[in-house]
Amino acid sequence: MKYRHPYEELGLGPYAGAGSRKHIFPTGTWRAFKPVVDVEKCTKCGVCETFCPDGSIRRTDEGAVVDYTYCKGCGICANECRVKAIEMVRETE
Amino acid sequence: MQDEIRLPGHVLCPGCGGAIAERLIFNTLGRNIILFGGGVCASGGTANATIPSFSLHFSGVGAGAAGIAAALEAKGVTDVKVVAINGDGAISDIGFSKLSACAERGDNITQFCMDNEAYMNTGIQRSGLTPWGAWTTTTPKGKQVGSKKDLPMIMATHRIPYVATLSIAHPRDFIAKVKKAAGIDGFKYLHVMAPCPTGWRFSFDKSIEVARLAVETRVWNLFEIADGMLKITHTVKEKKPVVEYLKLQGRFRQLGDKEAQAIQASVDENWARLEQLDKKKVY
Amino acid sequence: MPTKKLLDGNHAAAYGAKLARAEVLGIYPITPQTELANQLADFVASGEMKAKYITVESEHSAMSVCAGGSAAGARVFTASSSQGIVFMEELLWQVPGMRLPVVMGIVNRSIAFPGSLRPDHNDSLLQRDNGWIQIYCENAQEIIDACIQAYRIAEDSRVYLPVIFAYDGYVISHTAMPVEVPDQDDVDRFLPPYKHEYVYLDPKRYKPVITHEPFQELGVEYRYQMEEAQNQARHVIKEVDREYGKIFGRSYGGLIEKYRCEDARAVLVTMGSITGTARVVVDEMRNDGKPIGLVKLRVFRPFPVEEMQELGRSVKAIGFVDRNISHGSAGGGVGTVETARALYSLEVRPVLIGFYAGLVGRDVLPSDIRYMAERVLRAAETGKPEKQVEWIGLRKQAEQVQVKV
Repeated sequence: MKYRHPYEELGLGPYAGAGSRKHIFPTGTWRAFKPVVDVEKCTKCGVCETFCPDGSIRRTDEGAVVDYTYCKGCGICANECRVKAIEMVRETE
Repeated sequence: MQDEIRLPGHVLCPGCGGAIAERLIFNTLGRNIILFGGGVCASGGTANATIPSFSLHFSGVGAGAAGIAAALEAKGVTDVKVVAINGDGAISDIGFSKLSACAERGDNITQFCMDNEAYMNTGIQRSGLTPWGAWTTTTPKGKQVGSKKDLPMIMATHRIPYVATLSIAHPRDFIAKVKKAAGIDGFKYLHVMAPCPTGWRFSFDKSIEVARLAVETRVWNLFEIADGMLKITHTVKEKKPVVEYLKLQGRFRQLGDKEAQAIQASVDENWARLEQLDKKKVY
Repeated sequence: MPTKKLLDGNHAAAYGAKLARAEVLGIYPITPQTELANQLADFVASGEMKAKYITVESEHSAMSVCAGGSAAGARVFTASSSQGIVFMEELLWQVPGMRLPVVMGIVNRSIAFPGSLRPDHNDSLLQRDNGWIQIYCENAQEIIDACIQAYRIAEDSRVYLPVIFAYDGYVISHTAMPVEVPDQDDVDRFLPPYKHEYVYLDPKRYKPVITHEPFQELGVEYRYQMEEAQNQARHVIKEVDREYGKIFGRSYGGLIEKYRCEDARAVLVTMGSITGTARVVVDEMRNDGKPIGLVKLRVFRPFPVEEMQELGRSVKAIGFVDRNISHGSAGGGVGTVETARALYSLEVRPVLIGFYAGLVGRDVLPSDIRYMAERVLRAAETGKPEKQVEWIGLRKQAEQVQVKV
């Protein structure tokens, strides 16, 4: 007879499956400015992707794409973009 | 984004230099690693790792990671690397003796120091790696006593196979050094300068700029020491005066001309010494 | 085939760790544990023990190594005493909270100041709050058995709590007796390889992440789980001890052992090496017809509440021999105070006297035990103690102790 721990759905001890949704917060709500990419100017160099602290902007063949759920609006991508293809626009929502 | 090894949605500050460094580390090393953290702002960030991650507060500097490495060896697992990421507080202060012992024993781990030059997680208190003159909450007039411990040199004299300094503004150099360290057996020490907008008092879109300026003003020099042989890996073509670096950061605001000159002098002296050691054996 | 060797406590513990196939050893020397650390180093160096011996630079690191190693799937072992235990105290809270089945030997030594190299139980009893299971060993034979049993208890899926097995420094650690060293095959049958169901750092499988901030929300629930595990441990310890008896022929009574308690009117409760001396004295007194019994408290955590309550119903007076002190306590050492709580709910309570004996390593002589036994017998007759707490071996006069040069 297998002993059933109390709160079995909790797991044993202060652990969580890696990448479990327990510690993922919608940090997009933090920002005051959001990056807007001008895909015409974008040279698809990937510098923004390298320097994003949150992994929220990705180089694609169509231009950089932002994940607005998590982007904190720090502005590093806009500051580092060599062709100034990213503009930090005030959040209105 | 969602295929990141450390998923977004973590609680590190916007513009965190440490977060940028960690992404570079994970993307270089891949998923076959066990992460050992603790004592860094980033211990809040390791929560979202999709790789096994273990933390023991400050008790984990060195010894905890060594225990994991020993267990893997006992189990005959050879392909998994143990990567330890600790902050400057853990490495230079509270965990210094543990780190030193780990290096002396040659435990098979890759140790990163996320140097944001103070105890940032607890609210910007000074550490052994806080530079002279910097404001912190425990040195409100600027750090008067003590200077920045030269951890890379200290670790090198432990005769470990690999020591390197890294900058987030030089990602290619960063990645090359991480790859090189991962291929070596033994204790590897990689010291990352991680600018902290919150603690250093600059606008958080300037993290990379500050890191770049640190290298261009020779406040932070990029070199590696492999088996005792020192090699400068990045030579600045156009050296900039230190004030360019200092004036961007609010934590140096209380410094006057005299102090800035003193800092310039010590930066120049440090660089001269490093230049002399270039391509020579440190141990 | 089991072999018979002349071993002292430290060497017996080393054999225990070797038979249990501990794989990662993070251990730092401290008197009186050093011979244990040295013997393990010899075993590893000669190849007799396939383990990684990490020569850590402090006890703090020793337990860090054990925590990391255990989480990564290896069986670990460490040992320390007094100052070393206190130095690793931070880890001694983290390890049970992380539900890692670490086994640690504590060679009891009094904690400074005033301290000495000689034994009292404060160093191990200091861990009574954090979730470690504690077994107190009476002699070298019990040490080797307790070490092997400890891994079985710790790695049981109903428990997953770390275990301390403690024995008195010098008195047990440095005195030898003939010990039957179990056969390795028998131990392998009794103790399967370590495999934690929930915690393992393996990139290819389930990937636990331990952090601190988000888990504050669930902290109460985790502590509840741990308390449940301590409750389960009461059953597990008894089961394991019984099974051990069947395979190896030696059993220790589970949580407590009662010695000559049939028709006893008063009992003394002892822990550790004092038990050995007490057995001799109880035999002598029984020969004189005195109705005295002895209870060996083998396991302090989880505290054997039911057993003590049953004892309380059957005798008129209990004297708890505390080789420890809790300054400023409600009355007596930690054993006395815990027993008082255990007995509190009884309708008819026996008299309870707390004895401070053997503090800071002062020897507990047969005459001391006889004195304590007389006191409890007297309390059993009169129905109340003359004193609730008594200090044994206290030198009342300010004596000048002449040190001969």
